[in-house]
Amino acid sequence: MKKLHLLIVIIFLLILSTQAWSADKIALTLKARGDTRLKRADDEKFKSNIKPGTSLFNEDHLKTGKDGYAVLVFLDDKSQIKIRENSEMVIAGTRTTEAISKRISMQFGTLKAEVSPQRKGEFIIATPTSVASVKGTVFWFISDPVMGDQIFGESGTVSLTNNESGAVVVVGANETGTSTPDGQVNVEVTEEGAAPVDEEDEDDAETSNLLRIQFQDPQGNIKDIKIEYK
Amino acid sequence: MGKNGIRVSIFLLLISGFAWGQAKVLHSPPRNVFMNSPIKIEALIEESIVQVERVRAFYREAGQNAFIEEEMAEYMGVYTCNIPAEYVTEEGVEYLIMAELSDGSMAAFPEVDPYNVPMFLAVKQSSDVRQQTVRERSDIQGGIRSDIIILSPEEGEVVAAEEVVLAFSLFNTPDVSLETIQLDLDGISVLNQTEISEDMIISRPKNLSSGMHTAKLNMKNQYGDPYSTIIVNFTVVKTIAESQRIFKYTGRVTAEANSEQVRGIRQNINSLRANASGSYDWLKFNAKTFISSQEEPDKQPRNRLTAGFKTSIFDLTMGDVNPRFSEFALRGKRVRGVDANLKLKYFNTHIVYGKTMRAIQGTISDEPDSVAGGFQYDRSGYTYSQNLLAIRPYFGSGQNFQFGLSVLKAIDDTLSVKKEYGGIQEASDVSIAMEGSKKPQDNIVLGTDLAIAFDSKRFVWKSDAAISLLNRDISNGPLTLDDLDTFLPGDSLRDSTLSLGDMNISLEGFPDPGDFARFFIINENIKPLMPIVPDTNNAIGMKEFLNMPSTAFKTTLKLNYFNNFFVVRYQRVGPEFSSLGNPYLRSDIQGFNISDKIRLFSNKLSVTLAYDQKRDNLSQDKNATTTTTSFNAGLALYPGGGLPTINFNTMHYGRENDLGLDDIDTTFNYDPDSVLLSTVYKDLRESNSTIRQDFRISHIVEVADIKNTINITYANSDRGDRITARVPGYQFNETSTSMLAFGINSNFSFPLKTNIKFSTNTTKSTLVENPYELFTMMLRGTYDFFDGKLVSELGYNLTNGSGMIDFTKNNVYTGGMYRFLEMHQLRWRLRYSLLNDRLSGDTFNDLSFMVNYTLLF
Repeated sequence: MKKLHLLIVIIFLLILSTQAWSADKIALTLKARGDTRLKRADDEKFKSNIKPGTSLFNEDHLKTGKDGYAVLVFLDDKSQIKIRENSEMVIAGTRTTEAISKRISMQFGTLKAEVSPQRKGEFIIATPTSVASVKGTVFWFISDPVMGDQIFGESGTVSLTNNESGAVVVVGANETGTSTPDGQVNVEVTEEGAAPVDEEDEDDAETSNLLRIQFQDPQGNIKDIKIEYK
Repeated sequence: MGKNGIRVSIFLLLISGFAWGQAKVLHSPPRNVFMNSPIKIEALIEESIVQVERVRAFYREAGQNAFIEEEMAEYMGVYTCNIPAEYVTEEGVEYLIMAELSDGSMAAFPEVDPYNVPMFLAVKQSSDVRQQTVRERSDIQGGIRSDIIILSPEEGEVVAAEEVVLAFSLFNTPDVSLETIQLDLDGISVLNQTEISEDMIISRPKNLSSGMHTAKLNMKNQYGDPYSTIIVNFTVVKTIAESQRIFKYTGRVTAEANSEQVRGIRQNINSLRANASGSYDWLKFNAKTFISSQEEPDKQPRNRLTAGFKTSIFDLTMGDVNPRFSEFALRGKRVRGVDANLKLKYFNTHIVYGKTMRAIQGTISDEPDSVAGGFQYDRSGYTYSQNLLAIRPYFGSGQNFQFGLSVLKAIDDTLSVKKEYGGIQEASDVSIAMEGSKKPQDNIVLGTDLAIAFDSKRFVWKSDAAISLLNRDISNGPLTLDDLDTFLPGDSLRDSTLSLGDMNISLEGFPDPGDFARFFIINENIKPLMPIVPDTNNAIGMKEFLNMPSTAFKTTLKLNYFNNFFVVRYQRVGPEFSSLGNPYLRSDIQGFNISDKIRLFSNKLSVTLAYDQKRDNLSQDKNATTTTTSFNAGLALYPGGGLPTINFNTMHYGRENDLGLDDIDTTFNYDPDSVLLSTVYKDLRESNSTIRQDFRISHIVEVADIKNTINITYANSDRGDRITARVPGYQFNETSTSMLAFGINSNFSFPLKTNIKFSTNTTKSTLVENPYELFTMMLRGTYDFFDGKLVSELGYNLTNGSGMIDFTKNNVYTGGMYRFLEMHQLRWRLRYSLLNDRLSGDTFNDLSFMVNYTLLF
């Protein structure tokens, strides 16, 4: 009987832990290149060699080195974060049945956020200097604990709040918002060439097809010409 | 109608303020205009009495002087054109629509004084948000639609083999029966390499060969009902670098046959349009073709052919190009040739070379006129071909600094039109006269421009200056040295000396003007004959230098601070300034423009204020100096959060010359016995004003799952004479128009969309007894079948006109669009029109059709 009780308790705990584990899964890495490291919430050390397709859980800690690059996607709405080199952040998300409230706590670095319109939850990027609240937009975010933060809006709007002064600015498309450790905030038209460049020059949203043409030379060698078209 | 015709048309509109035509341009200004996004302009021409010859849109950045002309394309009675994105700036956009009718009359929008009081559009900042959530593609078997999100790969994505991840999120589809999940890659199950959890399905297939692959996901819900199959196609390449270097291209080919019947007259127009663009690593290229059955060798080309490529340092385009140098030298002129731009950041060069006009031989008179010594035939209707070369070396990227020098040379080819034509040869007693005003011309424009910007372009200062020389008739070639002796005004003495004011230049050893003919042909037809005009004492000072008749100068300061976008601009274009690279530039004008766009409440409210003042008669050689002023105030409210968007704009335009009562020209007519028969007064005093307001409101209302967009537009304008004491018989065309439109666009929960619109338009003129009233009703519905692959359309338009014209037109049309095999699209439309023209008593039954096939690749 005791064994039976123990078995029931173990099974119950197992189910519970599985539920908890599952409920915290919030995102997935789609790309991980170069020096890209991950530390789980309950781990003490970063682990390198992250593979594309790695699940991300609440409070996972991501870090990229000088040649690092990572792309992660959230499960509820396909919002994407592209993390450039020399960046470090904690990915947090609170799940409800309808959405994931996302919070990126970035210590420093550069990321590009392509945020789908948030249905129920919120999307926040917090740095030592500021907090950016996002509803649905595409923008670059550069954070430096000493120099402050910069947001380069590509579309939509981002509300940027300075932690020191509480001052808020709204950064729109083609605008650059700045927030400095001394409490200053500002918005100005983005200078040409000032925004970072996406490492992937690919137009993800468009469809494409591949046309393969095979050639055979007189020696019988076969070569392919591949033409991708949209 | 050629370019001169356009200018004449505009001029007529300008002086009359209103061209009374037997047609109306029905147009609703676009509501949401975003910066750096093209604007689609659509118009209907109510042409129940006369046929439309052509419809053109003229547009410019607000505050600019010259309009850019664009022919509007017709599609089953709707005329459309796109204002390119580069003209849609924060300063706003101004445009007008002009329809030329077969009887020579014109109709325009805005109706009153369109050239001086064009339509103004406030421009919002872009707010397009990329829609990230991609719904699944279902296969043709059907099934329950699921909310599964394809996380990776994207449809058509090119992925390096080492980065292939098949990932599907079940976050929004919680009732999936996990054990029913089937994931196939290229028809083979990859379940053994797949992780399945309540949130996600992930598979990392290994050793995938290069090439195209297809993943298919099938599953059922907890009740055993199958979901639609999810299909993703993607391409695998060996390396990450290769995935970024793949050759990509996209394009479309459209063939269209259009048979239009208006008042019993049928016109068939066929066209073929093809666009293709692509990229490979650092290289981008594109090609465009438009072939029209309206292309005729004796008219300027309608066909367009363009191909080119771009890199980070060099752009090359060949074919039909519309280059933009500076407003004074080259802007808005189509050139068929080569456009090359070398961009090395610190040193750059832009070169354009090609033909701007095609030679048209015209006709020769059938019967000669008798003249002294024989007969004379007249050649008319011809156009010389025109070649243009423009070079602009410029320094600096423009980020903070750019300095440019430009030279433009345009010359008509005098040999391109043959004098002897139609088998008629010149002989001792037979001459051929080149009639008409289209003399061969030679033009040179030298310009410079400077741009300084700092503080992240919050401060921008730009200046342009140019000087031109135009030879209005080069058919007789350059002057000789003998001709030069008495060439300048006031120098009639044949003394081998060229005299200009106090200056006397000996012609001994003076170069022959013919030696410069390759650069510019110098003869008596040069405008201005004297680039600089001495004062009454024949002296040349600073004032004379600044007032050179063929110079143009413009300076603009833009400040973007504290949510204000402030622009102040001054310009002076001399009366003789002329550039064949920008035929629409208004000359003989001097004035300034101040505007401010104030953004408030996080850009939800914007207020635009602008004041503009200009005057002509810079050389004081006209009877009067005319001053125009305009004040524009606009308010745009975009509150968001389900509240309506509101636009209000008002413009006051005034025009006044400096003539007074003493300047009224009075002619007394007497009979031979000195008895006064009549008195004729000529009152050229001018002081009139046009006031226009337009108000637009748009609101989305959801009722019972039906999303309705309600649009209400009200616009009115009044043009009146401010001079009350006029001479007897003086007629001024006082005009007032008003337009009220109400429309509802509805989106139903099932695939039905409807558009309903009612509008009334009233025009009153003191020159016409009855007001012109027009009522239109438009009903349209579309219904989608097979997930939108087939779209059907049915519509009805009613137009009722009364007043100067009196008619009722009923218009029924049906059409559709069918997409098949992913790459093909077929559109068609059939329209029946019943016109009852009560003025003439005629009734017309017109049937029109259109078929359009598009291939997408």
